[in-house]
Amino acid sequence: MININNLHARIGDKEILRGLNLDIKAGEVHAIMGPNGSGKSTLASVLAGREDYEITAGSVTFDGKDLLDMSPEDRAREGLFLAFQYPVEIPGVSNINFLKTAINEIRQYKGLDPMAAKDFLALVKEKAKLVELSDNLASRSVNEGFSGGEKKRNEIFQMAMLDPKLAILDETDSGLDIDALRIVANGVNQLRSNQNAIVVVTHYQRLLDYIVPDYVHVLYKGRIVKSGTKELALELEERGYDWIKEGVEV
Amino acid sequence: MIGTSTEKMDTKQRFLNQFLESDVLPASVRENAKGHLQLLSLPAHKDEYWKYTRPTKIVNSEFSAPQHHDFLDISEFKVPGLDAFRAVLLNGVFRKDLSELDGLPAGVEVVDIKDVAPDSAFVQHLDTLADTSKNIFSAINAVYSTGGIAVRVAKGKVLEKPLHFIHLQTTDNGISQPRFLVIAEENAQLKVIQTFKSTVATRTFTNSVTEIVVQKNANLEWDKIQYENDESLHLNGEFVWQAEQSNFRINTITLNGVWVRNNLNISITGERCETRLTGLYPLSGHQHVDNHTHLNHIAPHCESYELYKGILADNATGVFNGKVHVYQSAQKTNAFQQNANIVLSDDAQVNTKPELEIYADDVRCSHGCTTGQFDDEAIFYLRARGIGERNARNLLLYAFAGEVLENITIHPLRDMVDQLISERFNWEM
Repeated sequence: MININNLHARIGDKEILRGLNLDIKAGEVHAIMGPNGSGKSTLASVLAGREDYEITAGSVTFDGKDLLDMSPEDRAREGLFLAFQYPVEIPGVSNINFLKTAINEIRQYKGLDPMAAKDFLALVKEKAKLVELSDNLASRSVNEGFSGGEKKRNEIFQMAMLDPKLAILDETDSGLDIDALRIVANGVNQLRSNQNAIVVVTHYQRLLDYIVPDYVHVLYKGRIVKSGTKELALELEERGYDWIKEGVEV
Repeated sequence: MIGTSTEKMDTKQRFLNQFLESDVLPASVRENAKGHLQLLSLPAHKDEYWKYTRPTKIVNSEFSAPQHHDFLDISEFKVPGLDAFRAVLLNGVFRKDLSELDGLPAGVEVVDIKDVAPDSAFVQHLDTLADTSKNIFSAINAVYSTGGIAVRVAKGKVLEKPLHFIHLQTTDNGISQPRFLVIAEENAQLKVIQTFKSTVATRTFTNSVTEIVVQKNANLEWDKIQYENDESLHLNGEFVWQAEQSNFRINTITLNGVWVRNNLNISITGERCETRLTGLYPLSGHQHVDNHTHLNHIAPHCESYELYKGILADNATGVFNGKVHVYQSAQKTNAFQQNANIVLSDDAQVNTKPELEIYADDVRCSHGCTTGQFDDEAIFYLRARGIGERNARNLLLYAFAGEVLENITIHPLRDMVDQLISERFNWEM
């Protein structure tokens, strides 16, 4: 589904991704872990098309297309979704209006007619249940006055509404208490299928108890330095990252 | 010195000579204003009140005598889908024949200001608020008034349908100097829509003066839509007086005009009043729009809320000057003021100046102003969900403007304003 090859990216003079390789197939869940500053969020941002980063080398192919050549909106329309680490508050724009605009622009891109209002509202109802988001939150301004947990649930709600091929969850567990974590993970698990893929970017193993990955990768200094299965995450939880760092330095 | 002053006099006289003699307002009002007008001078360079808005454009323009129409179809100037009473002012003259005022309930008068009876409630209030001794444009309006409308809603009466003043300029380089007087008596209630529109594309000049009296426990909501043309010069003075427990709201939506100055003056003289003033000025081209508001909190236990928002593109200039004066007598005042602007181009600018003068010690007053560009993070968030950059900007602009527009409670009018804005700025509304 997505093939990342020798990706280099920098912000200003600072090189953050330094030759990253990753291959993800439909139906897979990958976890990307790593110490602070290793480049996890940069990877998520670069894939979503944030313009602060400069790509200096490498390529990313998404479903056969050159991802790096696309605008952020076209990436989304092609089926890429980023659940933000810090969802943005947008006063005055209702969640509903926002999602209706998004869905219809994606449909237009695919040559489809706008979704009927009735179908759209039915979809909102169905998907809001998935993350236990009340109707009230769905009709409020995007993220405005939401608690941390509500914001993250809203990200997963949007993911459910947009039904992406590849979802990247950028530290979706940060700032969540255990109940909110369970709700979010439960939502994500219901969206797993053999048609789509999920990348979970996280610092901690905790989320992976609930969203069980097929593969775990350790990112350090802008490169994937170790890959394994879910047992690797448990080992990292126990031993920390120092042994990985030492392995790389040597 | 003498030379300069003579020159000034000449400019003023030349300006005044363009206006036709008028017998619209009662002779006593005109004579009184004429006296003031002799002493007043046109705003000068050093005049703080006119610091950012020079009246040169008005003073140096040449205007034409009004064109007369036997008939004009006003249907395209109505608010689509709105059932309303309508009073038409054509080139500044009240046209009863074009108005739709049949079926006004008993106790509601809408009359030609020229015809007000000397012993009526109208004359008691006429020209008592407009400040003709200090404000030269009010004095000019009194002396040279082209026409006007007087409205009275008697004690306890409720006007169910909105009253729409349709002000039309149809003369190339025409002048209109209308006078409005609206009295909401005790416990009365009404909604007024005031639209200003030009059917010509040339530089028309409107010098409008509105006096509003809101008596005890009365409720008046006022929506003012300025969409004359891209060249129009528009000067608007509103003078509002509120008695105890009254409620007054005004929305000022300025959509075009090359030079627009709104002077909104409100005196809150009775306890437990509510006052709400909101405004939106989405500007482009070389527009210059100045909103001057002056709120006098004279009585205690009153609340005021003020929100003005600007969106400035191209070479447009916006000015906001909001004065809140809390008298020593106005304890327990709760006053909120906010001015927010989005500047879309390097050549657009905003001058914003909140002025709080507080002489009471037990009050809650807050003010703030923000001027900025788009929130890039919000735009990226919207784009990351598949929304194109242009629509992302439109959504944010609409959300920004929406906070003001939601104060328009007449739904067909809100739809009309949304439509006007989207046509003008190509926004998705």
